[in-house]
Amino acid sequence: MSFAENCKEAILNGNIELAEKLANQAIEENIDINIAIDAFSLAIRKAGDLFEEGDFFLPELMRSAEAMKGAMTVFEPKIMEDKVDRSLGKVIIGTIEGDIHDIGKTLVAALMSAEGFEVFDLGADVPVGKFIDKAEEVGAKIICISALLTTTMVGQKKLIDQLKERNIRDKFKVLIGGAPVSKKWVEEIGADGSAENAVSAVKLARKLLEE
Amino acid sequence: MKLIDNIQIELDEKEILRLLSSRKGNQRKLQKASNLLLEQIRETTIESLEIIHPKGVYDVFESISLKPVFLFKKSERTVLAVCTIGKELEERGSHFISKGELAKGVIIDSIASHAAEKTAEYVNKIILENLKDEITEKLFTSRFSPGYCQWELDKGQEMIFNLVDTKKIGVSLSDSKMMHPIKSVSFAINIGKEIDQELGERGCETCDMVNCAYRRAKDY
Repeated sequence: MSFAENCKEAILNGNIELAEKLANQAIEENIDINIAIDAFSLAIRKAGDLFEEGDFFLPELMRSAEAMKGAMTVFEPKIMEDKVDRSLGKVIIGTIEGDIHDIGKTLVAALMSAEGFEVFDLGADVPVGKFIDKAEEVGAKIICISALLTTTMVGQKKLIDQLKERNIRDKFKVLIGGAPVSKKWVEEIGADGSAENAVSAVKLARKLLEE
Repeated sequence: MKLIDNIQIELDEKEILRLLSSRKGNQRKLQKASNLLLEQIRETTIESLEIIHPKGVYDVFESISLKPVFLFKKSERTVLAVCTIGKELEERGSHFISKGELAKGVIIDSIASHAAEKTAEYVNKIILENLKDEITEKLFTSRFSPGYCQWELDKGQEMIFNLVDTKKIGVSLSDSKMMHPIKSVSFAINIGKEIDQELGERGCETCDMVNCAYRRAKDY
């Protein structure tokens, strides 16, 4: 099997050890780091597609993300050393103040990292101002804000209102997520979009940055 | 105020898989899980059942004293109840997620969500058994919760937590009306001769919470 096929097998089987071994092999054999990472990236996208199509269950997709993370951790020093810039952009993500639901946004963060975004996960119960301050501080392109309750989703509107008040709405794409979020709510508050699962959130983020 | 404990629940593997599927996966119905995944789910289910502590508490009220009027006007008496599986399993799931063991974390989270629903189902059943003399020759609704059936989440939760002694089962309500532990369910059951029996039936197909984990629209 080729290197790319081995990478695909490691990622789709969620085999962390094999993914790390292949990443080390790529470095030892001086395989172009961009080509090596591309092989893993294609595989993690395939895992996402398999989940969306119903061929993978969520734990299988997460295992793939764990394997991808394993490979990227091996590549990290080489990326720093060679000053390779593969970042798709910086993303701020968190669950809004008053809401401690953490898992949904953590899965989105994991898949965004696997895709190549530089993700700053602020955790749960995060005040609106902290999202904005961090986004300004690191020069983020996207803010993802999760809310799992109808009582806390008003925080998503508050964030957009504050961006407008500070005249910086156009600096960021704002994606909103969580069970109560509907298309109508996206339009009502003027967000840039929402997605029905973590895989489509990553695809949407890529699409928005390409626009 | 009645406490229900010593609750024994059985979990359904198919429901756990449903919670772990994408929308398309659920539509396909015949989506097959690998033996490895099934083994992980079975193993995690056994571990999980050891650390859940399902409990419920309820009381019965005169419906006329409850608001909003449109939900309770046709009812004579209303049961208000809260139940939980406790915080241990939730903490275990968060522990794995924060360690980066996402696959294990999401399996635990789905088991916990399913266990909370099963607990609500059990508590609902026991309440009706306890009230069998009262409900003879009367009708009763399925359970319905704040946030559903046009019952505003904040007002509904406030009313239930003001009237039911949830300290008995260790459930509290945050300022944003979020229950702690998260894997808890609050609900009402209307009893009366002329109640709207459709109330409490899940109306997923008309609900716009399309990302809801419990969505059971007809296309599923």
